[in-house]
Amino acid sequence: MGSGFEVKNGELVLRINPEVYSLERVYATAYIFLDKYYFILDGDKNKEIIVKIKPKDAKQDLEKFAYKFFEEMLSITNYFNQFEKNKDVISMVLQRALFSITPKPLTGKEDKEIKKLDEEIRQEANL
Amino acid sequence: MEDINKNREIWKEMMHEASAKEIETRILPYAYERLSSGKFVVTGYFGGWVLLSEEGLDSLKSEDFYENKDLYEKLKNSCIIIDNENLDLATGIYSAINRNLFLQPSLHMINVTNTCNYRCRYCHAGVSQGKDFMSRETALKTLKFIFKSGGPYITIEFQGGECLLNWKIVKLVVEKSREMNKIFKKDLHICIVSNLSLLNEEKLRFLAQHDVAICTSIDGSREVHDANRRTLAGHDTFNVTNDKVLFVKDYYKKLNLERKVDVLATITRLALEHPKEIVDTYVRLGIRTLHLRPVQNFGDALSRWPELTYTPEEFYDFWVKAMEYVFELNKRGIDIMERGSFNIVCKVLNHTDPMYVELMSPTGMGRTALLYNFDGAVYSSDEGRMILEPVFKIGTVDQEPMEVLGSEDNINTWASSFLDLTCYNSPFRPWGGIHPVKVYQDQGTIIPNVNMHPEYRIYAMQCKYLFDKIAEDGFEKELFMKWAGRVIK
Repeated sequence: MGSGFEVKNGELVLRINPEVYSLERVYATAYIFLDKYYFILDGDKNKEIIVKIKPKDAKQDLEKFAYKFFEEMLSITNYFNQFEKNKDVISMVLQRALFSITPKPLTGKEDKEIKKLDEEIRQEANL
Repeated sequence: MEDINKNREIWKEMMHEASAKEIETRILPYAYERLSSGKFVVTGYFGGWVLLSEEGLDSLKSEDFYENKDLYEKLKNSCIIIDNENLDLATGIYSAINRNLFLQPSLHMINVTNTCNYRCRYCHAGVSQGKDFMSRETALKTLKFIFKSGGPYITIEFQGGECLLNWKIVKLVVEKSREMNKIFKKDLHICIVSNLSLLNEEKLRFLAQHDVAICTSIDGSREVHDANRRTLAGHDTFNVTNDKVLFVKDYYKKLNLERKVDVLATITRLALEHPKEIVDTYVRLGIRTLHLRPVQNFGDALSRWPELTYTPEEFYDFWVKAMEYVFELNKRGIDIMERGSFNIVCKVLNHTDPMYVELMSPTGMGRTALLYNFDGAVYSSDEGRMILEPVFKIGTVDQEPMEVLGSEDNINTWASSFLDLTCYNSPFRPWGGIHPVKVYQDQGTIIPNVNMHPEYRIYAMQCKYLFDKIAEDGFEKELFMKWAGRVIK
């Protein structure tokens, strides 16, 4: 089943081939446009994903939006494919950066100072 | 101690593994946007960036840049492409612009009282009257919590209500923290945020002697300030604040103290018509840093929200007018900087972290910054205490810092604010952040919809504007370079 769209009665219906775009990518794309459109997701994630779209503002050009949706979905898919391909390098850089610190325990003098403060807190609580 | 040493060994091993791996040249995820000049700003995953022509961007997209030495170098220097040679550079850029990730909490805000002698139209704190003062016991426990939280940098910031109404606790915390720091030797800064109306010479002498910085609010011109900020009895406050700022400055001058007064402006709808007048007020008072912050929908502001608020686009238009005027003044030799731009250009041009909590990803709330309430509750941010539900209350000063910082609620808040998850296609993502309390207040959840969040939309428009100026490569870029090199404590 190929991907495509139709505009009918002020509603846009997208039909998406899940072998080209996964359900996760459809979710991610719809999420971007939540401020301007209502979305109803339907269909079968293995056979055909159906997205029914209604604009919050009736003046929207739905045909133009259909192309925009597919364009955004392509862009998302490309970005996350790149992310997936590079996740070993990304995690390598993050590891190198994040492992440069270790927690520092209190020194003897600092510990003594905290104990002094504890004593003051006890006295204050007993007042 | 044994645990820490064990962890160090594990980390060393992982570091070794991370360094030893051979990697072939590859393109990391990147995002781009067209600037007004027709050039594109292209940003790599770790915060390096480059300006490319359309042709250059096409070469990157089609991966045919290997023969173009100049483009190849640009992409490598910005870490958009990566191999073993620039792995350290990518690590360095990421570490530097996200320095906050490698430090324990550093901004400790103490709300010494919820009471205030003002009744501002937009009061975010939603203050109470005549009650809710921090006790000595809670103040001492708060200090214990702060010094045990472990970081090399500590900024204690007094918040309110009006802090000067609980002066004895302010004095206690200042004296005690300075005394304790003789042992702890932290880089300790103390700051008081006040409307200054109760500041007299005795109090100012104490603050100056103990190196306590002063911060206040001026919302701009007299007209705007007096409409927004009034006393409980309904009187104007512009003259009082103006006079007190001059009083503090004169006092510093008499004592030859190299100090400044920090001033913040909360921008309400009424201020949108007066960008020049606001800048002029600051210049007249000799204030050199201007911070134009959008009004927030917390506390008393909620009941007047329609009359206070505006769209992100309206705020942006106002901000642009103020910025154009700031450029004009700087061209005339008047040194004035806009703090919001500073927070961005620091990261972009200087690869340094201005430690501004709202531009951290994951959020700096409950990690870099903590708020200690008058009743001993610990919140992950100042704004956290301002909403009705205790969603952002993460513990109390009776607990150990690690127990509070590591609480499930706190960690969930960090995780939800990681911009990589929600903002993949913005070239401005590596320098930005999202504020979970504001997201919660706007969207009713801590999981942000970035595109619908007004402050993130303002941030993205501001970034584009700053990059337009950077791409012009003229006076404004020079000015940003100067700002980016400044150290703000």
